[in-house]
Amino acid sequence: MKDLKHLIYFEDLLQEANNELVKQAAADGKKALGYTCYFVPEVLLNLGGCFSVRLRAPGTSNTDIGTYYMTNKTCPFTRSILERSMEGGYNFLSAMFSSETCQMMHRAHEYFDIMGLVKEQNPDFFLSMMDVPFVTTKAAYEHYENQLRKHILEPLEKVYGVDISDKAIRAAIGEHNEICDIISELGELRKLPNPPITSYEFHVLQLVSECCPQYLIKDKLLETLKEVRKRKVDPKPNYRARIVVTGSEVDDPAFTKLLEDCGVYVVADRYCYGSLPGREQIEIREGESALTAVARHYLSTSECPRFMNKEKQVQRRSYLKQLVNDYDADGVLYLQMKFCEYWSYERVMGVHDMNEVEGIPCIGVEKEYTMASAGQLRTRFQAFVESIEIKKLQGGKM
Amino acid sequence: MKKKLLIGALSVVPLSMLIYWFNLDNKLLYYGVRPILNKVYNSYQRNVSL
Amino acid sequence: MADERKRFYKGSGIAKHREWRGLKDTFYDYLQWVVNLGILAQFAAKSPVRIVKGLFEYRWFGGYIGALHMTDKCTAGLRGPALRTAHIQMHAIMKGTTGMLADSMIGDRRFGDTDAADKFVMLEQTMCPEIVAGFPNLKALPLEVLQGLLGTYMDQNLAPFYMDIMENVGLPADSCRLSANAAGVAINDDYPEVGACLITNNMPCDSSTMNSQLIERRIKIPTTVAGIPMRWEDESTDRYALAQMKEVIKFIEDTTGEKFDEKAFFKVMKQHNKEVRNEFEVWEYAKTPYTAFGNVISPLFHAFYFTFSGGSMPYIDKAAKKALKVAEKAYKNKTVSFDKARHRMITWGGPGCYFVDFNTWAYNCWGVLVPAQMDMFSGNVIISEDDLDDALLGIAHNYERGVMRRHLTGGYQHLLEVWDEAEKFNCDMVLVYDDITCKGAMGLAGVVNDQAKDKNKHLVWVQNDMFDHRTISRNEMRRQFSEYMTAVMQEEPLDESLVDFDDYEGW
Repeated sequence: MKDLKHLIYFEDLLQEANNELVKQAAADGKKALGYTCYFVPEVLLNLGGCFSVRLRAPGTSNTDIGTYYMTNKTCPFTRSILERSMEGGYNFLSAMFSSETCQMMHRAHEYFDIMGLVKEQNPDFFLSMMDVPFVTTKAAYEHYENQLRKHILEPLEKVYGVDISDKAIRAAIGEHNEICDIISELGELRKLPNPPITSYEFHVLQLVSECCPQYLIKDKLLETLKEVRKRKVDPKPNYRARIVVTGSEVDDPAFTKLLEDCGVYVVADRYCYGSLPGREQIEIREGESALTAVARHYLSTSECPRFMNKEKQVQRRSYLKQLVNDYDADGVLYLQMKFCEYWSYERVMGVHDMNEVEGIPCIGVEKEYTMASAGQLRTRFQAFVESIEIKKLQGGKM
Repeated sequence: MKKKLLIGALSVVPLSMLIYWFNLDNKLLYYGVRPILNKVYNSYQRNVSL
Repeated sequence: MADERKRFYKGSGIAKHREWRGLKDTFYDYLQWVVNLGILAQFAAKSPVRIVKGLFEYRWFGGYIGALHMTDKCTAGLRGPALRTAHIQMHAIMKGTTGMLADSMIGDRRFGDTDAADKFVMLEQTMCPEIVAGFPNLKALPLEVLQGLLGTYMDQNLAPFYMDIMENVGLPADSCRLSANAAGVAINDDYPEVGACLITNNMPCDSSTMNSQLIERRIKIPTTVAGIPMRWEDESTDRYALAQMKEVIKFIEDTTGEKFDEKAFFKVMKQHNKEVRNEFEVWEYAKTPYTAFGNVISPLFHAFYFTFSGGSMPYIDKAAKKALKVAEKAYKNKTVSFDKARHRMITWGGPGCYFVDFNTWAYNCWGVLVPAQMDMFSGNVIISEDDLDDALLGIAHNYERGVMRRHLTGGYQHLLEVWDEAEKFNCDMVLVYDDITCKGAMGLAGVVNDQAKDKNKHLVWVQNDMFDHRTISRNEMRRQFSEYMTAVMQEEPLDESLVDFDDYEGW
């Protein structure tokens, strides 16, 4: 297929957190609000005068400082974030929003406070950390909404005078939904047997929509969507197996490239930093406030293994199964970041359930944040693809 | 009979002291009971499943 | 006590004979051993057939035959008032533990249907029993702790079996051992089939959150989640915490048919508060050179009553008051119970549970007394004795400040309280356990090191693998500490034979 016009531009933007568009938005006087976790609603960080930046640590080759502070037995993603923040890589931020959802991630964020990071560049910088429920009862939704108000909206209003009214949140939801529309339509194209977008390209676009000021990237994303709609595909699809990828944090498109090199087409990105969930429309129901809608949306759509109630456990399995069906997938790949407690158990249970209960080919792998163990991963992925091909040849039903 | 019972009852104390001092209780449990229990546990077929 | 190790068989660590503590203390120790036998006899008598069945059915149950051995090693080197308080507390622990074991077997449906099974509310992990206090016809029983933590204290070989099961199904070896053990027990179908319902929870950490979900898959009784807030210092979480407690109570009512009884509830809360106030008194003695509390058993007693009693075991208060009387007398007479102490050390972080008597060893080998350790500061919430909402919120706060949770969640400042507590307890040394699978504590390792330098404090790190002695054995833990004592503290051991010895095979 012909290369996408803006792909190289998008790839460049992903090379650093403080990229060209982030700098431009800051120069426009907008506040850069950092976050990593889905429980911090992206939409609220895009209220008027602000823009969200989902933090990554691209190109982190060593984590000496992060390892000193957090030891080498903690999540490499969080150590990389810590490394980058200690190096000053996030000094452009006006605030950092976090939640005590994952022990290692929130610890890494706490260093903003412990070390007084960013404060020298911006004395108004603050870290705000909220509590998130483990279940989805009525009281839990109310609690989450209260936490959003107390730990995101009120600090924004107090420190930066951000308009946090219902009207402002509705406007932010409107803009958020526009981005979601673009990414979702691109994502839907992956359902086709010969998709006009590669899984790598989609990953780049999804990341760019999270890491760049959305008001500045929207036009190019829209342009790309139009380009993809009209794109002439290759005569035959260039993959051997269609796979749903689920798991913990995947913010490096090189990983998706590795999968593609092994013959995988990632039909659905059901991992942290992916679009499923993340790029669904936020719907405001009749009679509810915009904030209530946001709270309901993020809590109900979250696929985080942290949710303990049975309904959510069932939801995670059935959602995966639904993705396999909707995207005509041949199998599921569970990815677990090394040292991730949540996804290590989820991977164990999920791989078992997919294979033994649902009869869907599934493997689970552990990965580093960087592509350090690419060789080993390649072997695993190639073997998985071959097993799927053999199963197809033997007439096994998917 | 009563005399025998009395002797028996009185000898419990020094006997128990001997067991205590020479740690015979733990020796019996560790060297005697524990291997038997381990054999029993290892012989079981448990319903191992996720 | 020089050359103390000659008294033990190599490898097994079984003593050839018991410790000579002088005529008076040895005779006292003998009498306490008889009391322990009595407790064990009472335990067996509660339901001999089911208990024997349980012993032969459950591998973890077999670990408890090491109970007397554990008592011996935890009281090693103790004399006078310290020996007495240790035994008083240990009796209560033993009574409570055997009571719970007996209940587990009496209610175990695996050994035949029984009405008794429905009289228990199972509580997962470190969830304390106060929430069941309002149901006088029901009893709280712990799930997981009997099969993991307590068992490992007695037998270091217990947990590896279950952890290996988890690794065989794909769980990485770096995952929290406590949770892996609990999950392995579930996969191996080794939990007693007891209880009307189960309350799972998110304590104390990420892996507990996950292992609860795995365990639920193998539990046949109705379950619900008590998802207590993590940000426990944030008052805005109180409303939700209270709502969670009410949901749990409703769940118990719905599944058992019992009704919440406020009068019975407050009676137990009064007792809970007594337990907490007793503990505060213990601390006051522990801060002084005339303390009769120290090393292993006093913190164990705290962890025990926090997790299992919560006011429901009246003998806890009795034992505490009896021990306090001994301590008071010792203090008044300026009796130095720990006369070998050259240093006072506070321990922090996740300990090696397979080395439950580490503190005792540190005292006997190096003259390092441990008057305080991290878990002592968990819970300790005074609960309202007359307002229900306040009381339920108090219970939620008690959970939030539970074992491990108190210091690993809610903000980094909690883990760093070690320095303040070291000051309060007049400790010149700080030991931080580097549990190599405990992500919550590891995240602040560098900060702890930095602060030690700033405060010019003696800080020693001792790595351990919590439940798995195969990775880092007891002897390896001893080696780490001994290296520090020689190289940094420039001390000679009080007993050379205790520095390096083989007890790998033993209990």
